[in-house]
Amino acid sequence: MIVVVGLVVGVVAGLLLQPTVPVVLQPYLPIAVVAALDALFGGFRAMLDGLFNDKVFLVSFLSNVLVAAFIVFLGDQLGVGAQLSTAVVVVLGIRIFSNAAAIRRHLFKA
Amino acid sequence: MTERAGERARRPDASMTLLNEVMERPLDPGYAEEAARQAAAREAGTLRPRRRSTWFGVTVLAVCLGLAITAATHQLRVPMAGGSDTRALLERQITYRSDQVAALTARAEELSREITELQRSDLERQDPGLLEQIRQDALHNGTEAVTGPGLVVSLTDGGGGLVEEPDENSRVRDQDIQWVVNALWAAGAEAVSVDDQRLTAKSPIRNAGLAVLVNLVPLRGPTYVVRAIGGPDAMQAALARSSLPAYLQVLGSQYGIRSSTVAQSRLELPGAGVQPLQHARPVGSEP
Repeated sequence: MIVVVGLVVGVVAGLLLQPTVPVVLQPYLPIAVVAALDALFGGFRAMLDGLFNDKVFLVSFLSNVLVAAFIVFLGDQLGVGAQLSTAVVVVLGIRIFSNAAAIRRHLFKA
Repeated sequence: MTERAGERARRPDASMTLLNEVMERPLDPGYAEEAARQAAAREAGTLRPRRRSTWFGVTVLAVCLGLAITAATHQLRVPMAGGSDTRALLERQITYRSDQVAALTARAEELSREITELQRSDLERQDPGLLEQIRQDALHNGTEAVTGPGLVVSLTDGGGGLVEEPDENSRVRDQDIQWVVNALWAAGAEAVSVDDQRLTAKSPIRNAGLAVLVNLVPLRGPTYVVRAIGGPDAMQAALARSSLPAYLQVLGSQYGIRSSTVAQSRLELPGAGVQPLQHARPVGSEP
């Protein structure tokens, strides 16, 4: 649970401080945020399943964001940045949808 | 053959394993594994409480991640659609890169200054004549910054930059600056710079659209300052005999481009740094 508290503290700090991201990193932001969203949904679903584990959550969160950014970076270097971004968004989008559906089943039993 | 057929019967959607994988197991298998591991450990009675340092690390990491993601989201929430935002992004990138270039240029100048210093301290003892030769060369090829008396010729766009959409013809063009620079060289200038760009043997003065580029760096109007080091009196006399005054007068009367020539007792011209030559041969030699 401490991870969730830490994450919330970080989000609040981010909202208050409004730090700026270096220009170099800006192309990777959208994918990183989608990856973070995926990890969040996964964590929430695991919580409802009673399987939540903060270490797994944190590691999946971090690796999701880094791998997604790295894939976009690699795509940019190879000249297929837009296509690879689309691929990442599709896969992560499907996962988010499935997790959201599982969460919905948990919460509303429907 | 029958076996393969049986296998296929068991898994009719075998060609879609990737999609199935994504659709059926969206949850990180790590959660289930960790839960199973913990359950096993609990059963065996070896479940240890986590150490304090681990707690601390995990919390700090979580705070950092939350901060980073919020920052990213916040950055992305600034509306990005439309050409003007692309333009702003490009502008930011341009300023960022220009800053980098400026920093690297400053570093290069610092290093070349260091090299000159070392050269000087070494050659002073061994070969003062060669040192003097190098110093003269550096002055003439524009490698090093120079100070001395000289002339300042400035050209100002017609309208002085105050008019919203000035007439294209009333802008100072590359040709005008070339004319001034050539006249100054002919009048005996030892070193010339346009705005902050020191002219060397390789310096182009060109128009790109409406902007004038010197050393491939765009100059900021509306006033362009050409500074030349040399004896001010002799240069002024030579300039007066040249065709420059007539040219400047035509610029003034026809296009409204204002100009002035002022003698200065002390001018400082920046160095252009070392200019690597790709191809050179002595003057007068056969190609």
